[in-house]
Amino acid sequence: MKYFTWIVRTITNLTKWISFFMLIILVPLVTFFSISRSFGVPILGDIELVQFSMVVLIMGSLAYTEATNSHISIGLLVDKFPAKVQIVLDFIAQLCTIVFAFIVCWAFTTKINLTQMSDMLNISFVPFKIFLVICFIGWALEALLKFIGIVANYRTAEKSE
Amino acid sequence: MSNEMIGVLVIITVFVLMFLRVPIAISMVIPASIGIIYLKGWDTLLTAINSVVWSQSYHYTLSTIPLFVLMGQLLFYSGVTDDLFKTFKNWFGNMKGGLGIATIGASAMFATASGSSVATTGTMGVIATKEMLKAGYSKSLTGGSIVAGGALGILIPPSTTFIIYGMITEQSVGKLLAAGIVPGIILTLFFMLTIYICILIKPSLISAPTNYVVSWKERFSSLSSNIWIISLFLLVMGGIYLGYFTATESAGVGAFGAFIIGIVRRRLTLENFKDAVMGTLRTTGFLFAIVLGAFILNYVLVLTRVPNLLAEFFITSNLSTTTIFILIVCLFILLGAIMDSLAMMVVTIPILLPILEIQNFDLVWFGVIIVLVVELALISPPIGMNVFVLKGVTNELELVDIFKGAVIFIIPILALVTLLYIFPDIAMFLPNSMD
Amino acid sequence: TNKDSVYELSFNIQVPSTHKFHTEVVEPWAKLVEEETEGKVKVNIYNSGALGTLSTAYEDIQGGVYDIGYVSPSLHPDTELFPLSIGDLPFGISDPFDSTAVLKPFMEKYMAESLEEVIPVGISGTDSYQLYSEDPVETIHDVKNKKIIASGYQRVDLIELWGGVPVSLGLEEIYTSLDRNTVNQATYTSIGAVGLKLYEVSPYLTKIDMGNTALLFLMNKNSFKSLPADLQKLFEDELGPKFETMNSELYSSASENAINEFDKAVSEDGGRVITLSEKDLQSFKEPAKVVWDDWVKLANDKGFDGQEMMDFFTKTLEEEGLTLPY
Ligand code: NA
Ligand code: NA
Repeated sequence: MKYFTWIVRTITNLTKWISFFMLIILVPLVTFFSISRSFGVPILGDIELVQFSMVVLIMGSLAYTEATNSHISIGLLVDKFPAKVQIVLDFIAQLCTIVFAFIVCWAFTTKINLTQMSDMLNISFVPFKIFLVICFIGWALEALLKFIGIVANYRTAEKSE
Repeated sequence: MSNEMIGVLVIITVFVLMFLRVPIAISMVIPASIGIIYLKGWDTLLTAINSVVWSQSYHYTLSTIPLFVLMGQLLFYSGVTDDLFKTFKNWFGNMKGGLGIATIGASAMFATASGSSVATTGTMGVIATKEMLKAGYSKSLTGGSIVAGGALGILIPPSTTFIIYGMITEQSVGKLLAAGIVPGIILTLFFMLTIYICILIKPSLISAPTNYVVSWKERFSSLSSNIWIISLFLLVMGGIYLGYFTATESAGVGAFGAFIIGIVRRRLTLENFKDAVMGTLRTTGFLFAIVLGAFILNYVLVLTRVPNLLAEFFITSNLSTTTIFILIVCLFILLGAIMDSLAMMVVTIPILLPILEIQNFDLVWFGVIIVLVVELALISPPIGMNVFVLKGVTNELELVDIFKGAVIFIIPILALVTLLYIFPDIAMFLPNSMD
Repeated sequence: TNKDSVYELSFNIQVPSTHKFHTEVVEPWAKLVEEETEGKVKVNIYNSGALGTLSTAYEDIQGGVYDIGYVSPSLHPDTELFPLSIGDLPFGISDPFDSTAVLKPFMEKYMAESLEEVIPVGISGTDSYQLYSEDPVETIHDVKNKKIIASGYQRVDLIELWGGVPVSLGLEEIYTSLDRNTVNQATYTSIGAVGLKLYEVSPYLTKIDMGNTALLFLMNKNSFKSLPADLQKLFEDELGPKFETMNSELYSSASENAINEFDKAVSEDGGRVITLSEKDLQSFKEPAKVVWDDWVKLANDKGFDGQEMMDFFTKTLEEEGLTLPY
């Protein structure tokens, strides 16, 4: 279990920090593009670079968002349910998350076009799609970890009662 | 089973899952996927997911969102927000309902740097709750003022809601942001007026008498922090308005500017900076998860022709434009009561788009209306994101108190919606002058 | 039951229902399909890319995201559609009827075996691309270091060879970015330009006829196979070719009108339609040779006999009475 947690956290941290640095780079980059254009020297492929950064930024943030409980859900009703029912519902929620992440990974691995490149800069899509798959695996693992945590907590709570 | 029936079933399941505390993004995507498999098969589902997930992330316009979010975060962590509240307190603290008015003012000012209402509420909530309660304001008025002020976050540019609306309806994000400025100022004044009138009618809302004395020197010296945020706003919106930047570029320049401000004021430590970026990543994560989910759901809705059915119903029903407008606003108010506002928008706009086009509603103008109704949803019971967030950042207020106080602010919002329906130019003057 | 005998097909198009392509081609064709099949086939039209954008069109039709749609082969150079991107080489084909005449034999010769999951319904094209700008473009120097909107890899390459900076933007961003001067110029078809009201934001149209975009209309193979044999035959023999003709007629006839309309709209404010001298036009055309040569190399890289394909293409071009740009 410890080992599993370690793996999950490593993936989440890795994708989080890649996303972190992407955002930090994006700010001066976009500023530079606009200044450069104002001075009559537009940069070739500027939009494309921003688009690729967005893929990295978004995907890298998904597992971290799950790890910090920041994916929005509506707890209004369920918060008032008995603990056992809540456990079951959380199980459904985490299961749905895992299923979705699985479908995305399936879609991107089976539908991948190994020769696809961008129009302007001829950047290959492949590394970005691989990163995307890793990030969705990360999201699914975080959901799984959370579910295991919920069950474990519930068991200890039951024993102490 | 007919296609339309499947569309309706998918929508119902989405709602059920949402209320069972399944994350909103997932609530949309799972029923949608099952619908697609049923209608078109597994391979089509994979293709649709592949297309949607990639094209909604590999997106230029949407990059505006993390950049604007970062801009607000950087300003918050540089302590600009604290100073904002102090300034408004110095200027208004002495008058009737002064602290409530100061809260609205400071929120509006912070909204010029923050793209989200939830962020504005969370930020102002920490500071304003303590101050207002200390000055003897009732819990409900305190909570109401803060969540209403926070709602301004998405009307006054920058605004993630406008950006996502612009992407769904293919309208210029720059024009939408410009359209929010004047209604944003008016709503700020309306909110202030609401607080003032409330206290006139019911003075017991403040238990202790207001006695806050500040010298004029202090008042003026506290203005300096506002100068930073105003210059940043002028740089960002002026740049868009005069055509120096695209919306994305202005967001980049804005975030860069906020970073510089933090450095110059020596308030941005490495730790603060890290927190600001991490906060932005969390917002990016949940926002885009919802956007991806919504587009997959949208695919199955379009496929089952639910939007067309609705449009046909409106056409054949021969209702007047005003009636249709009122119906749409009521629909949003109802949905907003039970649904997350972002999810509400991304789910309903594509459905309503054909109706809006047939009625010849200007889609930029309608964007302002939508943002106002979303604001209403954010503060109205039983599901009001702003209220939940305020409850989350303070221990002193109960949900019931906040909702009780928030309900009164529905009146100024509806007043502005009516005003905009009669005089659309209030919103359209600025974007039209961009042509 | 009665309902089971009706086959519903989804047709995804990128333009709104007010666009001429919708009112004069797709809608009448959908009616025709219903009539010819005696109500057995119903075509549902989805506007404004409701079921998917042009950039993922090929994958979407293959995967059955919708049943019928069109693709621009140059947007999918990494797929089996690559050979057809020859039709978008700059200053090659300008008229949609020529697109059909030249590209149909080309497709039959080089792609008959390779298309997977899709059935070609027809092949046609848009009207020719022109140049729209904030300042008059009269010589090649007027495009140097300018940000110019372009789509398709060949036009992107050409603009770089001119010394400009190509930008690829979505359809919805063309008007605004010209208006805001975040780009200086755009290449687009004249019918499309009038549709987007580009005359409001870029008062100059330079008539360079830089060639059109080939449009390949495709049907998902499973959807096609699900039709009874007689209906399949009807689509292949009648409905497909009919669609080609209807599309070509629209783009061929409306193009000249669109340029006139543009001229009329801008003339009051001092804008105009610019016709280049033969010499100046040649300076725009000259760099296209590199793009044509690069296409051969690219085809070789992809395992085709590029030169042989190019020879076949130019031979058909000449048979149709067209000339090479250089
Ligand atoms: Na704002
Ligand atoms: Na609400």
